[in-house]
Amino acid sequence: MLVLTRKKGQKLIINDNIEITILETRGDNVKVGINAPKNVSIFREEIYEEIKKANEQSIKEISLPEFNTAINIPDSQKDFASEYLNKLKSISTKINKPDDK
Amino acid sequence: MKINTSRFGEVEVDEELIFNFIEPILGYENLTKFILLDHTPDSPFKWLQSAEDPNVAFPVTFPAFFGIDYQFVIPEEKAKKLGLTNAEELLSFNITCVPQGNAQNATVNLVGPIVVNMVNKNSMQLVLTNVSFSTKHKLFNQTIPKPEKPENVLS
Repeated sequence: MLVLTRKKGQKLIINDNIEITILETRGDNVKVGINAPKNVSIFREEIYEEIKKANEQSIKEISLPEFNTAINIPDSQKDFASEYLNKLKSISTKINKPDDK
Repeated sequence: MKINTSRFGEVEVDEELIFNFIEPILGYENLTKFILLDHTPDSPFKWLQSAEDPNVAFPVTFPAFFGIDYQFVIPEEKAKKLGLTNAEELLSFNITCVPQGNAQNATVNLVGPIVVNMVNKNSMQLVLTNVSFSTKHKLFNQTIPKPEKPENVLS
């Protein structure tokens, strides 16, 4: 990891098109300003980590019986279904369940 | 082509229906090919199954089915990257977490929706910033009555 020391108001330039400015420091907090092209994704690490964790947990937790239980909880709004479901069906892959054979 | 899955065995897939993740599902950066598996027709749940790793399958759903008021804006540069030319081409869904033994407490991640261009199948997991959504929004509102505890429990 490259480590640089900067003073308030000083900048870092990355790759010609990303500019990072140290705007303010107060105790433990550092306020940073970033100028970057629109196609550069910037987010707080926590958000990234939170989604990553949710993704991993989704896979870890799921089991088929539980999935079937969830399917059968009658809370979904079936009236919404038809149009969107048709759109979905056009892009989904059907499973040949063993008991269909 | 045939795809191996740990839950459903071998699945025959039309190559046209394979999604190409041009930005990753966070934590699964090495997987780019996914399919949407129709577990039960007319169910609001589907599986987002990896075509490369048989063990990776996310249960996904569509918040609108559950009456969740959910709208987000796709950043212009992401829409461009996906090759979207109009909203009709867009399909979006969200990864759910169904806790073991506790399906009624299932949650849905509203912060990281999966978006798919239905025409060219380019896909990505968006990271929504400046939104008040939760990564653990409860899917089911209604409380399921629990079986009553046996009365004669000795303490």
